[in-house]
Amino acid sequence: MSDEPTETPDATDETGSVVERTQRELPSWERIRESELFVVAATTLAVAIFPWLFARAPVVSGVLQGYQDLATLILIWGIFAMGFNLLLGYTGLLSFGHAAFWGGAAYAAGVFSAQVSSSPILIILAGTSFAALSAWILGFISLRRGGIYFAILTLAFGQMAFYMALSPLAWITGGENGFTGVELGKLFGVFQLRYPVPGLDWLVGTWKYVLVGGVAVLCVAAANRILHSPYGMVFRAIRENDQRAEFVGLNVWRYKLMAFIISGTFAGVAGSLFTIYSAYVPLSSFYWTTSGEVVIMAVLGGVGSLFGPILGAAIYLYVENIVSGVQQLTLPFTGPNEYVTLVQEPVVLMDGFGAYWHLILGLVFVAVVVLFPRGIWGLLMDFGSAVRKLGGGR
Amino acid sequence: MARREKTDVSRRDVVKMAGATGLAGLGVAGSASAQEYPPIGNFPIQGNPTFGFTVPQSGPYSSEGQDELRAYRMAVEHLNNGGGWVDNWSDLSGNGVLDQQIEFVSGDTATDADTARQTARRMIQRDQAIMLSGGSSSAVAIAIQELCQREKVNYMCCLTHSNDTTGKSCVRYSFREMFNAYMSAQALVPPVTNEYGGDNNFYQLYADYTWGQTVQSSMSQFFGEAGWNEMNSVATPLGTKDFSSYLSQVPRDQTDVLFLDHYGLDGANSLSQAKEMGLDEDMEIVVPLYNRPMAQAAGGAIEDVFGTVAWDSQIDNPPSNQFTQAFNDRYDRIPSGPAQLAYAQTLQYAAAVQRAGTFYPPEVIKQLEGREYNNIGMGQELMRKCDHQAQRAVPVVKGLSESEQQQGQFFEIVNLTGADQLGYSCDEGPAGECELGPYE
Repeated sequence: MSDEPTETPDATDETGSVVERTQRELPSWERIRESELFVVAATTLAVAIFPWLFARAPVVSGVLQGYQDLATLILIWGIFAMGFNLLLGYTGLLSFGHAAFWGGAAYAAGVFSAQVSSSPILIILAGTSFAALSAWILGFISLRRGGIYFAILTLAFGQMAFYMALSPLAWITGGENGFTGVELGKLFGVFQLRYPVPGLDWLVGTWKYVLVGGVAVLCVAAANRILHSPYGMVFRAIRENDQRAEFVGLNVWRYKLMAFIISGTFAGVAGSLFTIYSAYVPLSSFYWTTSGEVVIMAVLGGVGSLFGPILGAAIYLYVENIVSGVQQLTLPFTGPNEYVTLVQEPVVLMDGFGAYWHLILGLVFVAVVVLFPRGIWGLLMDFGSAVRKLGGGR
Repeated sequence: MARREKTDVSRRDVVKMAGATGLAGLGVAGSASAQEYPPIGNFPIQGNPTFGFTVPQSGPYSSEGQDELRAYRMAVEHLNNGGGWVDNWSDLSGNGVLDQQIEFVSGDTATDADTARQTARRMIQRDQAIMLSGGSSSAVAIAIQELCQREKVNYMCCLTHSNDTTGKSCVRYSFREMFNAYMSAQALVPPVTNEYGGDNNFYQLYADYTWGQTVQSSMSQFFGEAGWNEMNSVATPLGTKDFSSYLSQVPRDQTDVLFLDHYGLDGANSLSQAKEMGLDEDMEIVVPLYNRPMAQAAGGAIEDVFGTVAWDSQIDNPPSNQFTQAFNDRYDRIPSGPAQLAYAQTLQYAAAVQRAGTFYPPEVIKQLEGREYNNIGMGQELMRKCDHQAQRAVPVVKGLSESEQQQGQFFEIVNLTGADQLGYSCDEGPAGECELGPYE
């Protein structure tokens, strides 16, 4: 998704005659790509085939070494990063305290499941409401200041939440042990979350993935709607120049607060889903590293684009969970169990490769920030339009 | 990256089979014939059976992970090719388990429950591990064993010392060879009260998570019953680097004994800092659970400090000596206590599979439950059916001075407290809170 909605066919085409032709005939690719229906349909399709491609498809999954639960986790973090990006990429506010909403929702969802109802839908609603409410309170205070002060204030609130969960509220949260009493009921009272979907298990796997995937599509649709509404336009205006926006007569502070709440709500949805996913809430969900991870994901994938952060989340989690587990780095097509084997004995490039995953991630991050400021999604978009130009160019 | 063809087939099949199980209901299990067990967890196995080893390679307990992994690797080698205890155990053949060669995968827990669960999930789903084993940190063990119960994969605890592992957080699919804080306290009371007298004031610092909390409560309980008076106990966060602010709060003139309920790097730090501050001149120090890397890091600070250890190479009996010898031959170093646990737990599982004649997890569990054995160098033991806690001897040790320390030897064994003097019945202590959950 491009972040420049002004980029209509009229702007891209070179001559007036072409413009008239495209307007009379079929709607152009650019316009289709922008339409809400297309975005939702494409997202649904991608979400549906993702676990198959990642965990079960021949060859591809063998290369990727993925597994079902990681696909689920990528979507959950994708929602979190996408919501975070509404704030960072579109409104231009850097929050370092989003762990408070992610973790707050996760604990609220966990406690709700143990005390009130184990229905997954209600758990998500409870966690999300808690996050939205806390985002409103924290945003109300933090947004009094801008720039670095805002970032530090949110960080401070995030760490306060961490220490609250660690000590004073340990009787609820379980302290360092995490919250372990999560109860999960059936989805709509019918489907057990851990069971495979009959007939579609080869594609999407379990009901848990269907739930997470469904919520992810809804979140993308909601974010897309917000960004393409006048409301989203105001967010971008604030990002570009908040004084000008103020002079135009917009209540900038109120819009910023709303962006913060919306972003916190997305984090809440993701946090609640994480509780359902892991049936457990770790204390580290409140720790500042969680806030840091989501910033890295957003920047890695590309701030200022709707899908970039989801891609960023996928890359981050892939390195964290798959690359970190690689014992030996071997040359492809060497050793047993390969699709094409050139040499029987594997050619080992490096032993204990996985232990360096932090370093690998750091290098990837530096490379992306220096070489592709619009992130990996921006790179893919540039590449795509270059290919199209090449194909359709005269 | 190495690709494994088998996983493509097996993953899909397992999902299908899990579906069949889910739809057909699990009730048919009991009526199945001995040969054909219904699919459960990662059973039946496609290809070679895979074990998953989760060890800390970063975080405060990382110093132990390497030694645990060495022992796990050696255990798999012995299972596949013979050697070590495998040659002596009548259940094991030295030609794989049920004549299948064992493979293994390993992963980092980062001493963090969330990371550990992710690692365990990867092993269960992608690598199709039939059994997981690992330590250290009780928070990690409890998080993984809960996951294993959900996923129906056997878990053999390595180093976890919290009462909760086989207490209120116990599960059917997990077994613990290691003793717990409750038994440590029982073992420590006689030699410590004998040495320091029966009427002392004691003060505790404890790591603020499941392990430290249960150590703190068990020490309070048993030393309180022995007539000692607890002045205060203070929680410190896991991973604390600087304990000086906590240590300076200890009232020097009133405290007779200081308990440092810390482990791993935390333990090494708090003990060294207590010595640096000269606390040992005013009071005696007890470290309820020791390990070797910790003693190594603390150096001369452990002189005359009482504690318990999982196992030590100085314990002189045939299985212990044989293990020390095999480990020394393989890696040219003396094994640590957690290494012995890792080795023993892997072999115990393999032996149970051999006896059951199948990897079907509920049958393996039944083979482990109530088993009496005397083959890992800890005397006569019983793996209790009610809480999956081994009833076994607890070695009480005392630190050696720096000049007496040698490579791999940092303490002297004061007492190998036998299983008959320790423990608790199934309806009291931690076991009273344990509900193991279903087999299937």
